[in-house]
Amino acid sequence: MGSYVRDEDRSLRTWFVALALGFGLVTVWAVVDEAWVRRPWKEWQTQYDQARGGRMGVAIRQVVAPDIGVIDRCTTCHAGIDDARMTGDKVPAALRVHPRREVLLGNHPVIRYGCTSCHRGQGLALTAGTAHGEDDHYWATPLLPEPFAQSSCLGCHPGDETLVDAPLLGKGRRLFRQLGCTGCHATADQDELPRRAPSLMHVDSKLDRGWMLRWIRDPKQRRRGYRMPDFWPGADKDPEMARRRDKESLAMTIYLAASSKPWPAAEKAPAADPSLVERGQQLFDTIGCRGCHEVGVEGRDALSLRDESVQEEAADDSWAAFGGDVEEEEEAVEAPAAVSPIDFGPQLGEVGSRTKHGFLYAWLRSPVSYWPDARMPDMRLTRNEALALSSWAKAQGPEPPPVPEELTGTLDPAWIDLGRKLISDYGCAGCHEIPGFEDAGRPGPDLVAYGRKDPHDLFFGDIPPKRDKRTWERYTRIKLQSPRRFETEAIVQVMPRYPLDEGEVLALSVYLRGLVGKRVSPNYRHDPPAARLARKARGLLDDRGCQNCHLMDGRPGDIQRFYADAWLGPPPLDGVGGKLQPGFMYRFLVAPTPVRPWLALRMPRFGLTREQASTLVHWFAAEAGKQAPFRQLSTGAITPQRAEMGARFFTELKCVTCHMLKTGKEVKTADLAPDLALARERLDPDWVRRFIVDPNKLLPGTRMPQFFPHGQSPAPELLGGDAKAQIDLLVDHLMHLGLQPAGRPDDDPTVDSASPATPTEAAPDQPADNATGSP
Amino acid sequence: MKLILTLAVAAALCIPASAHAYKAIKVTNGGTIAGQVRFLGKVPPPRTVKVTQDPKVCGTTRKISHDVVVGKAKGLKNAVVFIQKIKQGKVAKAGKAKLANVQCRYEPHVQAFVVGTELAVSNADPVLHNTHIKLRKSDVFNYGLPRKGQIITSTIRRKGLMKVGCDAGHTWMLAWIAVFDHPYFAVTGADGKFAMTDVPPGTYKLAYWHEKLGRKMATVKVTAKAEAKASVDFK
Repeated sequence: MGSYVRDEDRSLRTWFVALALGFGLVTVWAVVDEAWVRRPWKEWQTQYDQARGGRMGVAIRQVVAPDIGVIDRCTTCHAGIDDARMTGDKVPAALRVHPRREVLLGNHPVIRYGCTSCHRGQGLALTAGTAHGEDDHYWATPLLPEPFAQSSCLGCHPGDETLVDAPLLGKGRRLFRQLGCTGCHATADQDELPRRAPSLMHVDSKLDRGWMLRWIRDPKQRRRGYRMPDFWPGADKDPEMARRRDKESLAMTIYLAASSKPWPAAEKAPAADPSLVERGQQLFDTIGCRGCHEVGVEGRDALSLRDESVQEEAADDSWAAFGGDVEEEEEAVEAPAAVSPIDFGPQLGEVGSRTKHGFLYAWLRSPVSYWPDARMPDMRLTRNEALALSSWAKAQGPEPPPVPEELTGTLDPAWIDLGRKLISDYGCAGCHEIPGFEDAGRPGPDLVAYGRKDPHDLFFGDIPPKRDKRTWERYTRIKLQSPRRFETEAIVQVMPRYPLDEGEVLALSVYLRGLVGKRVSPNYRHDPPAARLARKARGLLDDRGCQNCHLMDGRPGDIQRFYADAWLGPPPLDGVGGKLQPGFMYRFLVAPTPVRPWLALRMPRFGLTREQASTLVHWFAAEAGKQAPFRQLSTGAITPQRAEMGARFFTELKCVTCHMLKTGKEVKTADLAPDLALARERLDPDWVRRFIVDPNKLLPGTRMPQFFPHGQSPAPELLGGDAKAQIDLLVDHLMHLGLQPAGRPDDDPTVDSASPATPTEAAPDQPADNATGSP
Repeated sequence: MKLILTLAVAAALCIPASAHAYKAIKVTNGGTIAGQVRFLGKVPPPRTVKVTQDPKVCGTTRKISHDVVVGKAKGLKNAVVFIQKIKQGKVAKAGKAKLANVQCRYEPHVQAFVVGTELAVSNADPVLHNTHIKLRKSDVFNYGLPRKGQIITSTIRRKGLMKVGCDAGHTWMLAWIAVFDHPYFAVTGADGKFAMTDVPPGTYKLAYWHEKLGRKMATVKVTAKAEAKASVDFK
């Protein structure tokens, strides 16, 4: 009968089978895709389970932290990130524990911070390619390559340059400030800084014109540790650039010379006196200038300020000679400290060729009257001292270079106009205060959110538009190394070149990457008041170069290298907050008065504001663990009997053998100690007490001896021989010393009152080493 | 007390860990090392130091003659002779030692003793002396002795060459203390002679140290119950 199936039906069935097959294939593909292709995280989780011998269960793990806009699933694959056992080469990289887990995840638990808050990337993605960004070109914040995760610390730790796990960030932030980048570029992070470079308001009163031209033209040849950048990079090789450099530097010098206002203080200064050069050299060597300045490396090597102490020399030879049985751990301590060049202040080897004498004199007398933001402190020089130093400085260096004709006589207005335009274009006023540019804004583009910029927003010039050639990191590196690299015929670039090494470029890049222009939620910011105080104080100490002279954090000041005896150098600052009364410290910081008049070194006046001085006082007190630094010290009540007893005991202990003001006498100066008449106002009584108990513990290496060793008193008859009560008596006496007649006259009553000092006890076999003077 | 405890702990930690820890054994057939240290050169004249502190007691000027002291037969006084890095031998017995401030100088000028010795520092002068003992750059102790007749005793727990000075303006005051963890050392007397007994037989390195003349080394072979001669001349 033929087929019952109609043609249409057959065709329908074919379609049905085809559809069913198709559907089946899609289902199988979908299952395979889901299980193996799209979900490699399952494989990681299985491996993690196997590795740790348990089952955490296969599931997507998600961290939600709305305060910082984080929704992360990273731990779905990185299952072992917070598991200390997941270390070693056998563990696949994706499952390995986080480096420095105890600190980094201990302080920033994954459950609260997620991963993308530091590392960036696409938190919601579940495959490596999309999560990290390689497979998703349009994700704006791809995973940060190493070491840029450090950059993210800046968000929650604003201004902290001491983070142990973000050393590059700290270094970069410091460099950004020290190089004066803030002068041209705004950031939300460091905006309140003064201009870094010297004021040019009165530059014609300061610099030789020929020298100024040479310096602008080519700063890198002249000084070590210089910060002035090169505005004509490549001029050494490119004749066109060299021509431009010669013309433009001349025009800028002419403008500066023409616009400079005379500095009356320099005009009124006395002339240099060549007979004072020697005295100037001596002042330069002894009052502390060497903490910040060098005169040239050969000058440093030739310098010998060392105390001529035969004993010290003999001791050093003896240690070496004795050898053998000297304790070995002590040997290690002896390694000489590396000598680093001093480049805090400018090198003074050529200061006489560049600077006019009138300026030198007036500047030494008062740096801030020339430049309010000067870091050079007031050295409290008398007129004669200032003249000796300025005469000495003027004698340093060769004759200045010849001055071109254009810079002499009447200056050409056309040159002046060109100079003004160039100074404006190059943004010189970003770093220098320049007449006519007092209100100039920052010339460079702002960098507030530079760290979040997409490579598409960066101008790469003629760099080929390939993805691996146009990355944020590469752009930043090139821009810092050769800032004009992206210049084209149409787009002119003016950023100058700074002398940066690879490490500095990387550190700056890490810092710039952290500038994201977003304020992190206060719940996540870690900026306690103590940290803010420490940052402010340390910034100030750093800025004023306090560590160039004083021992701090166990590191001796640079200037200490010139002193064989550390006690002839500046006193250590470690623990000084516990030692000094805050009121005294405040007054001393604002207006120093001599405490150790026998030292040639002098504490300069730094022109600190009230706020700055009290920041330092607070911080030093906090560092020393003082609970209430500004409590009132009671100096009122002391009975006449106790006062008398204290005075007697004080005389008995012969404290004034060293604690005296006998500068006229030829006492070896390192054996002198501060005047105790100042103690009442200067010292913290608790510190004095602890110091008397064990001086070496508070000031390691001090000459102050222990008078109560093993808690035993030298005077068993006084106060029942109780050492503690006797120390209290001494402290009481010292804290009232200025309030009553005390101390001793210059000759020594203690000796007179003692037994006749006839040398009767000389050992017979030591006849020569005895007193030859009359007793 | 705290100082003693700290020093005791430091000593307990350091000494056994030292690379050349000394081991006490019973020595029955020990030999003797003896000899004389001589100085053949020209003895420098005493230095003169101007006194700026306590002239009534210390004199207005002082002649310092402790640099090189030569006695009979050119014998050099105050040289320290010791066996270097000896590993074992007789018991090193800690005893008592004295360091006196007498007429603004130290007595004795050079001495040597064993770790653990009790050192009594005294002051016979009616002025302030401080006895500041340094081992390389660190302080062993620094005691102030303001009273005549005062004595402070403490145990020396570290070994090595210690330098003693006074910071109370008496810049010329100087003494040396050599502290060992073994008993094989000697300080030469006025005749420059020294002797060490009960040295286990063997070959040793002998060091001769003098504060101004530096160090000389010698190798000495010790045989049982015999005397090994080990004289040395500084020039």
